[in-house]
Amino acid sequence: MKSEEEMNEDGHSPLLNSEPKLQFRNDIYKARWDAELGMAEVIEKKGVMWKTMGIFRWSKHYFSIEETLFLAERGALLLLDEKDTIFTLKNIYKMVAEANNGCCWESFKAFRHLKSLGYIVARHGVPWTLKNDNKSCEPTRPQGIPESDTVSGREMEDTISVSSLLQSMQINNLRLAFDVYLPNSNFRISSPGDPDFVLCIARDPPSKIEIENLERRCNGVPLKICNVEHGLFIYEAYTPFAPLLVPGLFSICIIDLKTARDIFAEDCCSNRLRIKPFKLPPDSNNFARPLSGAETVDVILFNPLQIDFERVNRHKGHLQFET
Amino acid sequence: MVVFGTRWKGKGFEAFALSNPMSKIVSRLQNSLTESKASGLLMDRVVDVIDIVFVLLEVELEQANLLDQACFGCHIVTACKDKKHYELSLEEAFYLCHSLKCLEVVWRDKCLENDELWEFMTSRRKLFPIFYKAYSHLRVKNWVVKSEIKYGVDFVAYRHHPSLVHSKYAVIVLKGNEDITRLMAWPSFHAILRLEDGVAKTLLLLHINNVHDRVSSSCFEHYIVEEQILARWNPEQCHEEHITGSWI
Repeated sequence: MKSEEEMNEDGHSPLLNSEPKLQFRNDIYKARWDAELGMAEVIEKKGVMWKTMGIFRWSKHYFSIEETLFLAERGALLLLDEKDTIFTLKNIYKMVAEANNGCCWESFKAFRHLKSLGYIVARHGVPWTLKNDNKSCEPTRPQGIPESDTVSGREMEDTISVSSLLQSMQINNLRLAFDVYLPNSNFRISSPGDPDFVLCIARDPPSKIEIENLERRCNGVPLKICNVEHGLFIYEAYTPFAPLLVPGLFSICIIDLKTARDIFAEDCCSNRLRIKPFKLPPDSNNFARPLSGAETVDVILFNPLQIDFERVNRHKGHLQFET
Repeated sequence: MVVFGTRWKGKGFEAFALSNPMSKIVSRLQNSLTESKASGLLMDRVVDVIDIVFVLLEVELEQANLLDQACFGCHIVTACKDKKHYELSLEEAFYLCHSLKCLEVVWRDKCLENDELWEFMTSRRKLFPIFYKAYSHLRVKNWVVKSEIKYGVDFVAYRHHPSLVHSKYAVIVLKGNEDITRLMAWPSFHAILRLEDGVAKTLLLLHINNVHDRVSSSCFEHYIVEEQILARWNPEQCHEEHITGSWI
């Protein structure tokens, strides 16, 4: 398997001579297209890329159309039909362009861009596996298909495919497209944890209400918004909060609650640290106004744009609140 | 992960900024203008369909220095040696007048009271109340705020003097929960928040709520400001960034 550094994303090299050279590889995946499922069943696999791709159902490994095309573009996958005829690359592009399998061209471009950079990209709302204890998937899967041994596997799959399909085809401006994890050699499909962010594709710049709605649906996982139409641009949209450790031992700036929890995960587990969001009332000229029970709060999230920094003293590199 | 920080243009700039806080600079400016009973001329003229309104301020050299340090006004280059001339925007003029109380504004030989000035500015620019609210909301927290219409945004905000800091916000002011898409399509966002040499990497949307149509000059004090940020994210840079580092 060629290493990922050799992959370059088109659209980022204005000079033609720096376009990547993708060649067919010696060790290739083989997958068979399952038209009913709208996914490719992996028949032969080599190397390690599969460890961060695809979904597992009934002990079989399936790639989505975007994963299939991504690998096929790189000469890393041969897609076969039920008669063992090999799909041409053109065929596969057509399948994506027609957007019948839960991924349209726009989404594919975003997928390919991030994947080429080494991110782990999964379709939003689709569990990696159907084990009983994949609680880690649930918070970010708004479709929340309930796990039940009595529901037949195939019915469940159909539901998943159709929901993904509907999601990508919906007429709303913003759609939740992918769950993205930062490049991580310790990633395990069996317990992926919460994604590092959810990527939305937006036809038009999003309104405050649209963003707030999506943030709610993502349950604390940060949102990034992508526009593909004019080239590929990704934005973070958030209401500015940042945590500050009290009593001002050291300062760290983080955007969201989830990241704060990640960083202090160990301390949170041992209950030495409690993180609580704290929103300043609008028009407030003060900060660190104690909430009831604030004595038990270790980290306060506050809005740095509302802070008058000159009232915060820096003492030996630490931040302290002026009282 | 994004480091929500201020990036300083040079070594020692941060220390310099800390020992010369903007509040002190503004305070010195305020004292100086008050002592000299500074007076600005409200200039208005309609050229074709464009309404030109600004306040012309003539100051001594020492005050000019303070205006530059505090980033108020735009210096007009003249051959004059002992006086300097500045063009103040409506927000800047009103802030010096109403908030800092160190400037009086004269229009057609008449000194305008705050209410009269407010009424004048509001009549010339319908959106003046919400722009002023946004301007003063940030200025009062010691941010440096400049009008930057040429970039397609309403203001640019800096943590301290622009010569010291890299990072800045491109600010757009919206009334209520007004939809930004009515003002801008994606190409404008992409242009404003270009990763290299763009105006800024971060767009600050200020939603001004609770806006009533009252005539008094303090009516804007009841407005409520909600902030929302849209920042450009570069997936290629993300991997190595960690979250340590000061951010003031």
